[in-house]
Amino acid sequence: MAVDITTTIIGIFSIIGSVVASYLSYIIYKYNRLAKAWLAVTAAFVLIIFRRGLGFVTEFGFLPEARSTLKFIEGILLLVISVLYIWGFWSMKKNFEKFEVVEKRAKEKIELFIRSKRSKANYRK
Amino acid sequence: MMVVIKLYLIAPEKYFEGVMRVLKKEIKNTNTIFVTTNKPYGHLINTFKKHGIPHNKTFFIDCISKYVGEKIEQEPENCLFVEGPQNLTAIGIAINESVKHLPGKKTMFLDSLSTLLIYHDSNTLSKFSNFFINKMRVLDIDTIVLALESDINKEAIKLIQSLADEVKKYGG
Repeated sequence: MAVDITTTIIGIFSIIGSVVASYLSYIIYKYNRLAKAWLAVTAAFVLIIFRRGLGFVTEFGFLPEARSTLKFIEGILLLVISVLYIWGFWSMKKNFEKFEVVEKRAKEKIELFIRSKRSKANYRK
Repeated sequence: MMVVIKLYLIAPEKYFEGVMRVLKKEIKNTNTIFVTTNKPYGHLINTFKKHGIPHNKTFFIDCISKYVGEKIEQEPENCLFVEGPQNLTAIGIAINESVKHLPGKKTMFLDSLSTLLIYHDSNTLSKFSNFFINKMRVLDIDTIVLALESDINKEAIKLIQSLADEVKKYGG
C-alpha cells in the first residue's frame, strides 16, 4: 500500500509537471514563434499527460479487461510523442542553422561593403 | 550628440512620395543601414538613382526579394538578403550584426513597420520594436522608422510613438 501511495504521488507530480511543461512550451512558441513545428513539441507534452493517465489506469488495474488494449494505445502514444519531438526539434535545428548563416553572411557582407567603399575611395584619389 | 529616434507616419496614398522625401531629408553623409520589407533591393537602387538620393554609404537589408522568389544571381556587396519579413529573429540578427560591424556614425532606416504588421500580430511586433528601438538607442544610432498613417491605432505603432523622440506626419 505504501508503494501504491508513493507511486500515486509520483504519478500525480509527473502529470502536474507535464501540464506545466506543455504550458511553458506553448508560451515559448507564443513568445518567439520561431517555427510552427515547435507546436509539435507542445503537442508531445500534452500527449505525455494522456500517456501518464493511461499508465495510472493500467497500473492500478482500473480496467483489467482492457489492459492489453491500453498497453497498445500507450505504445502508439509513445511512438507519436517521439515523432512529434523529432519533427519539432528538427525544425528548430534548421532554424538555428539559418540564424547562424544570417549572422555569418551579415558579417561577411559588411566587410565586403567596407572594402568596396575603401577601394572606390582610393580609386577616386 | 544625442541619438534621435524618429517615426514618420505617411499617408497611404502618398507613401512612395513620402518615403522619397524622408530619404532625401534624412540620408546624411554617414553610413546608413536601410531595412526594406516592402521593396526589393533592385527596385530601391533604381529609385534612389532616379531621385538623386546618394546610396554609396548605404547598406541594405532586403527582407522581401527572397520571399517573393526573386532570383539573385550575383549578390551586390551592399545588400544582405534575409529570408522574409515573417522571420523577425533573422531580421534582428541581420540588424544586430550589421550595426556591430559597420564602423563610424550610423543611421538606421526601417521601411516599414506597417509591412511587418501584415506578417506579425501587434503584440509580437511591439516586442520586436521595443527591442529594436532601445538597441539602437544604446548603440547610439539615429533611427528612422516608417509606417502608414492609417495604422496609427495599431498597438505596435502606438508603442513606437511613445518610444520615439519625434513623430512626424506626411501627407495626412
